Amino acid sequence: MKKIFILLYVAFILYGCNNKLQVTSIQPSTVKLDQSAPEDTAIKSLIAPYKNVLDNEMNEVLIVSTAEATKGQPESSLGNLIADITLNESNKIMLSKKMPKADICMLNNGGLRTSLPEGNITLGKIFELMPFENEIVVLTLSGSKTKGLFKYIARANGMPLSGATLVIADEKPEQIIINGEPFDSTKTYRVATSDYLANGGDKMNFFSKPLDVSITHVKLRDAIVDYMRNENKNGKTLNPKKDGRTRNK
Amino acid sequence: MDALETNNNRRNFLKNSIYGSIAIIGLGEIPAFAKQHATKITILHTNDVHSHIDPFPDNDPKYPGLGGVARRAALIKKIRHEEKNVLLLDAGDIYQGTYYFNKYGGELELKLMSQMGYDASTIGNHDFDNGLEGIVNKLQYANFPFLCANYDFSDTIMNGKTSVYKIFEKEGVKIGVFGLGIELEGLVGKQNYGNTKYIDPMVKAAETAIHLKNEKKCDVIICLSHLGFKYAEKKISDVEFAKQSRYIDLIIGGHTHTFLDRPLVTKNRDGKDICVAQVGWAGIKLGRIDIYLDKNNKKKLIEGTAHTLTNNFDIT
Repeated sequence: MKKIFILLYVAFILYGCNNKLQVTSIQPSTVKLDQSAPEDTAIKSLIAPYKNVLDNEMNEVLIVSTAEATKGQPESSLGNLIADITLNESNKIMLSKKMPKADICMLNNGGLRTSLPEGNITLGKIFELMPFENEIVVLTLSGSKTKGLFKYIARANGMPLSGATLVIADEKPEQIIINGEPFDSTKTYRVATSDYLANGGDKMNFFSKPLDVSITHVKLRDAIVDYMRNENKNGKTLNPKKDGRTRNK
Repeated sequence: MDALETNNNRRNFLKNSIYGSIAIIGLGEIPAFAKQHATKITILHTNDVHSHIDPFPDNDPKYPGLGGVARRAALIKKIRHEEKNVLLLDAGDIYQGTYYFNKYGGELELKLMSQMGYDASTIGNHDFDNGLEGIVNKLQYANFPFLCANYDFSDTIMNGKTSVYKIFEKEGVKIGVFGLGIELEGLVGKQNYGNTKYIDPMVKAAETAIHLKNEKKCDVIICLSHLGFKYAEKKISDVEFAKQSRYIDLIIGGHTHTFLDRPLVTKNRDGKDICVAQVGWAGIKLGRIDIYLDKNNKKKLIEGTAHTLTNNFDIT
């Protein structure tokens, strides 16, 4: 029976007379580009002068990492690492400006653009991780706005977080500990984050109309690079890990 | 089995077999006889390359040694040798992701795409990362158009620098390509997009597709979309767009960095097949879609999709 229809089909192709073109078939495929693929020499030579300049700068080893750091939820080795570094560096800046310290740091998963390998962490890698020109800001939030922040994190099943622990139950914050103390809705909290998120990025509405804004004029990437260079100078390594700070019940 | 039932089975069989062999989008193997009498258009596509000019380093935890523009260029060249009718397209977020962008602001990305022979791109949210000036200042390095139907740049320095669509002719086949951008508010800093007005992409897509189909008589209509593949929340995505669309054969998507094993085939609002493609990000993959167009079919037979065909067979 199948033959009949194939024949009918062929007949329609052969004897049709309308010249209007019609899409009859779309056949897709994707090609993975791996090491076995040859490279185009003209393109390589176009890249070369740009690459040489960059390589010199980008190959600088900032620090050595004892483990790879990858993204994930509810917490991740990469999210923990970057949030911890950001909180640490924010507070250095706050101290130098004689402004009150931040209690916590919250960032977004989407802002972490690549994983970090075990071993040498180069400047180029940090540019890949954090290509954006976003700056650190520290906002003072009311208790209820701070609660909103944790609700957001819980609903999203985790965001890069430092200075606090969060237990999530049914996409809601069940237990929030900030600086070792249970969350208190009557208090205000200082939150370090990026100006991108503070200005409405990723619809983090709890950041709108904060009680106070401390602008640092320090790029998130520069802060991370500074931290790594300094730690390295002091003979330290990076130790990215999960520690259960954000977990599901 | 009585006569009526036999007839029904026969119709079902017809429907299935026709669908498999000459459905508008046949993701299975296309019979050789169908290819012989067809014009073949090869669409090559990328999205969200994000300034990944060099391959990922060999110690990258996720994509060791993958990607790289020089390899992509070699592959494209090879395909151009094998195929007569190639269109090379990008679905936006060319910029931002490596130091090449931070250092040179996109100059090298556009030079490379020009040399590879890109035919068109749309604009992704990260292409605004150096502001509108950042886009305008680098346009001189692109020899291909930026297509976007739903950003109104008329009150900005980008006015007149983009097009809604471009029509390509390959062996007499008219291919209309247009672009769609994602909502900028909440995604891109206001200072970076300035007075760019975001217009409902579904309104502009409908308008543009009708225009390309009816006024411009395009045989194939392709949308370069930076809307994103699919969302859990209520937000327009390529999958949703495909269902609402008419006349569009293929959506080449981006934004969500979705690695599709194979493009999704779904039904548009007329019940016709539409294909949604996306190849992850960072130039790790090059998407390829071969479209076969039949010159000889009666319009009556082929006009619609498999459903129309079934109707024709029913009449027979």
